[in-house]
Amino acid sequence: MTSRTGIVLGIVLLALLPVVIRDEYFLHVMVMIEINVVMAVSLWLLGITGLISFGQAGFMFIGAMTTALLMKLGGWSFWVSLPLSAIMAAVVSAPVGRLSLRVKGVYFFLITLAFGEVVRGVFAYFEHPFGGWYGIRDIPPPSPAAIFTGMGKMPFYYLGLMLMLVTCAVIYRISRSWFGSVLWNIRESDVLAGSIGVDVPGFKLVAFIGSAFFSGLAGSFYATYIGYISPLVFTFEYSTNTLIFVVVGGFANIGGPIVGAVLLTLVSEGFRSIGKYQSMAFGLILVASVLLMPTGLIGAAQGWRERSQRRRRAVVPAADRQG
Amino acid sequence: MALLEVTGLTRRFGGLVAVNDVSLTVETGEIHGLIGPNGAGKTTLFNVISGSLPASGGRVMFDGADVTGLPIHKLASRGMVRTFQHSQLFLNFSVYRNVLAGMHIHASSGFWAGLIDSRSTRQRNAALAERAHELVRFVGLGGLEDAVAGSLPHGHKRILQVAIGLGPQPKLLLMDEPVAGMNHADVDRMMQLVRTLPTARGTTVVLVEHNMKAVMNTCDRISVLQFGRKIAAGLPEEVAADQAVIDAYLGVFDDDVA
Amino acid sequence: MTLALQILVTGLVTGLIYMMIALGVTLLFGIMRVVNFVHGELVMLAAFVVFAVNVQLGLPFWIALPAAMVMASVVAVGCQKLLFKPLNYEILNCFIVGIGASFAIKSASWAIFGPEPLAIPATIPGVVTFAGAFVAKQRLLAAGICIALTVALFLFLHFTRPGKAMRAVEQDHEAAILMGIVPENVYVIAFVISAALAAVGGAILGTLFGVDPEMGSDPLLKSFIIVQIGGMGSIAGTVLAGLFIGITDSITGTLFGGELAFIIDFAILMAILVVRPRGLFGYDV
Repeated sequence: MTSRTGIVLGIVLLALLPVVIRDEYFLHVMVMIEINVVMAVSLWLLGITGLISFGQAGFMFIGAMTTALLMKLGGWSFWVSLPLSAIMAAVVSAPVGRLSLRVKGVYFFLITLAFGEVVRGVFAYFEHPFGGWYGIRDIPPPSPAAIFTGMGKMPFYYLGLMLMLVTCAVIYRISRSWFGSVLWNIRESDVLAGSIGVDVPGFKLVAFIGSAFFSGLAGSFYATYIGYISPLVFTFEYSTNTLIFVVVGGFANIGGPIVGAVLLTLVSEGFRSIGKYQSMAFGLILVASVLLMPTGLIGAAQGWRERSQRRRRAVVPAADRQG
Repeated sequence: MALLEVTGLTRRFGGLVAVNDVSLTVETGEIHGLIGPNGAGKTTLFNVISGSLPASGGRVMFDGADVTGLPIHKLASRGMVRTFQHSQLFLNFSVYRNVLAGMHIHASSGFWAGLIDSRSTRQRNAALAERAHELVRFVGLGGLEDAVAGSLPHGHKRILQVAIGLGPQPKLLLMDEPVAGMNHADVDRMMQLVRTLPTARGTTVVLVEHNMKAVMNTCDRISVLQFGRKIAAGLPEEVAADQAVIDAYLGVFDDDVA
Repeated sequence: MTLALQILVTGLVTGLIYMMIALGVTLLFGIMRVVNFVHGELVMLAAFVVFAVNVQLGLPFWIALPAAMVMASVVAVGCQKLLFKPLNYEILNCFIVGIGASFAIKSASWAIFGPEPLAIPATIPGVVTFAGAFVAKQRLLAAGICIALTVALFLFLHFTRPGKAMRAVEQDHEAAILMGIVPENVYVIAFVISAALAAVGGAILGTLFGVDPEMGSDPLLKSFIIVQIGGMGSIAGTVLAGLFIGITDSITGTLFGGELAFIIDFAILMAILVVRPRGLFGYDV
């Protein structure tokens, strides 16, 4: 019960934030955090199945490109483009997923990696209509234009906040449902799951498509917020950053990717002044995290809490432990 | 009509014929043993029947339907479940959660209902929780429900495997070397459990085993393989007395039969 | 006809280079089931070493090359002992940690050398013609080195003690231990050899195309595709797939421009995976 009030409190705080802090740069960082949280949580959803994709940026790019084309060339409204973009990413992910899931382990990782690069390659090669290496600029903001052009970053902040909260709520629900528990089972042992009747490839595919859907959502929002997309943005490095959020944050529950995304987005903004060292920092953080903190921050926090509880219990005199 | 009818099953790996035109039948309520010296092809035959490997030829009929070539999970939903020689468990989960997982097939009233945890799903799950507890007690792991599966001793792990396999309420349970690596006490426990399966759970059993004593004392009928072919089949006493079988094992029988 | 021959020859040479780099990947995976993501950066680092030794210090190529190979081996074994061994060579963790390390190394390289590509003069300048096709002598040298090393690798694996030990570990880990082979030593040799192959690849690429911090990414990605088509862990598969990809890239490059080549490669990979998920000659993971 306390955690539920805590979450409500947190949401209220987040809602009031832009009223309190009016700094545009601060709001920008918040929006980037929102986008990164959606990406991290979507990757986490896939991870529940035991799969890791190194090409999430590819689906994000597809979502972004769909929105860019629909809004700029087609003049469509953002509110229609958003779901369509996510659906487009999901649609593309279906055959890709089916093929990729035919292979196991390392082979799968490599294919997702290559897929991310292929998306970039395709969009980079065809200047018309995808903009080639120059990308697409001047993507319009959502309507009503009065709100989204006149009031700075605040409306985007709220839009992103809603997307983030909805995504987290949905994925949280999924992870705790019967469907989610089957995914966890598959992660523990897909062989055993198959032997008791779980359609393992089917479940994995659904998780894959779902994760692509939310990545496409993030991409769509990115396109309308920044207004400019290009193959230079949705790189393998971006996919890896998403992975780093999950690895550093921890895997055990949805809090991990959220914590990881928030923290590391702040770190990366902090490094923005030192520019070229950001990649190095992230690389080192990833290495350190895998070697020293394999359960991530929330795993470490949990372990720390358990150990202090055990210490408290050990203080109880032996006589009281009887019965 | 036999529950399981294998006709002319063949499996080739390149030039090697691992299973050569093997036919056998398993009647409902039977405990059927599959034995043979090393390299006889029993594991391959087992894997083909249970859907882990495709057949190069022949047919598998289960419960009146042709199931040749179906993947493992489809066979499981039709009532044919297999256990594994190297224990496959959800090692990080508790014993109870492992067994509950086995109830998967019955756990949801449909895909979308399961996704959103509708009320009907939750009601079903409550009933399943009850069954899972009962199943844990049935196999004799009563006090260990909260123990982490990975921490169990070997014998208990194999029994847990059986409990998981019984979750889908299979008509046929295929057991791959159920007592491999067990001490005498554990072997007895396992085989005792196996003996109750047809009557207590309505589950017919086919098992592949090397432990002769266990096989002879538990199975109703036995099929013997050598070099990929079936060389004998019948009641344990008949098979033990069969000259071809004795030759195949080179006298191993006399030492192991109780 | 001349154009076709030109495409073929260029494709073969490039294919040989990528094949050699891919051999390092496949060797490591076959023996240890590990994919070393730093492999691409080894290619890049080796090229920089050759530049430093050959151009800045003025020493001949035949000294620069072994220097690069040694340096690459040191880095590779360093990664093995510091990164992969503590993780017990577990596939996923090693993959992720390798990515992190490769980012760090690439970043460091950017910081030290800057983004401008550097050039290494050809070891054998000049061009050879036959049947109307032009081939730079440097490319012939490159092809020769690749072929020689591949043959050497084959001989090593089949006719020397350490080589046979490697194949033993690859085929049956436990049996090899029972026979007195220490897997850890075999692993070190595997890392050294794969690093050496990467280094030679980097040196050659440096002389042909210049040196810059990003140069390792492309060969790495191509290696992954080659190794998946040919089958992880299979040398024959990697050789065939490498040559095939080299020629295919040359054809698409001439007809459509370079960027499409990668997409076509990927499409080919997907097509093969539909029919044969393990690649042409691969092992199961």
